[in-house]
Amino acid sequence: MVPISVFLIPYGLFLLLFLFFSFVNIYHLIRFTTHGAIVSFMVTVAYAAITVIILNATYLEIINIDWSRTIQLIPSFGPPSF
Amino acid sequence: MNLSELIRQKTYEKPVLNLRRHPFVFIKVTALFVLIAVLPYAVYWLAASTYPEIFANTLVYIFLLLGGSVYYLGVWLFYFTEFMDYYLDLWIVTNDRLVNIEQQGLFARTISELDLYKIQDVTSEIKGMVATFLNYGRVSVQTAGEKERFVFEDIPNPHEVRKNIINLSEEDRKYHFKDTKVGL
Repeated sequence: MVPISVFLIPYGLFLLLFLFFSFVNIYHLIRFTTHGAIVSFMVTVAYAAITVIILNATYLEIINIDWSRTIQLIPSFGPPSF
Repeated sequence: MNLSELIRQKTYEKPVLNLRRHPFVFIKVTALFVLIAVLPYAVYWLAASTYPEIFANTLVYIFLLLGGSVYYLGVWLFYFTEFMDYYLDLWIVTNDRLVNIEQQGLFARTISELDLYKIQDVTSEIKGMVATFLNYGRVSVQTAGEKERFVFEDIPNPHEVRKNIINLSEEDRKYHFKDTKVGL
């Protein structure tokens, strides 16, 4: 029996990966843009805004779940009933 | 980083053209990602109308919730990466050289330069109905160097760009070879 909150661990790992690649993209944008800081800033804000919307929508659903509940990962097979 | 730093502009050098792919190319990518973003809603609607009882299961709900979040964040990240690939690809034509800057994924960036006086042949082409109406296509530059073709992909007004490059190349060749003629 495991708490269902274990499923948040791979989700958290994915979020770390997402943040890493997002920062790499933003670094490239800031370093190599030829249109000045204002364009980098606007694109970064737009990207962050949509990301926050997705994360917020997820959060609003996540807080309604009772994560302390447990589930049985491997089903048990009892004696057959006739 | 401004343009002069990006190409390490020389004192006598002046940028003439600063080219990116035509915006329609990225609009096609955007349409594809919108389709990918709408897909889960279609699947959800189909599942909810056929097997509505599966959504009552807490475990299924959690998988759908976290899976949906991962899906949309992944799609959004890939879209942003595609935008970076489009935006950071750049072709710069100066009165001295051509500079080709290509962003290839997240961790690869290639910058090639070509002196104008070495250009032997320039070809421009527009293919397809949409490209014809929107006037975008490719320009290929041929030299005798190691990289045989320098290609500008999906740029606006390719025929005008070809004429510009040919004119600039002729001017640069006159500048480079005038001293050798005087020496003779």
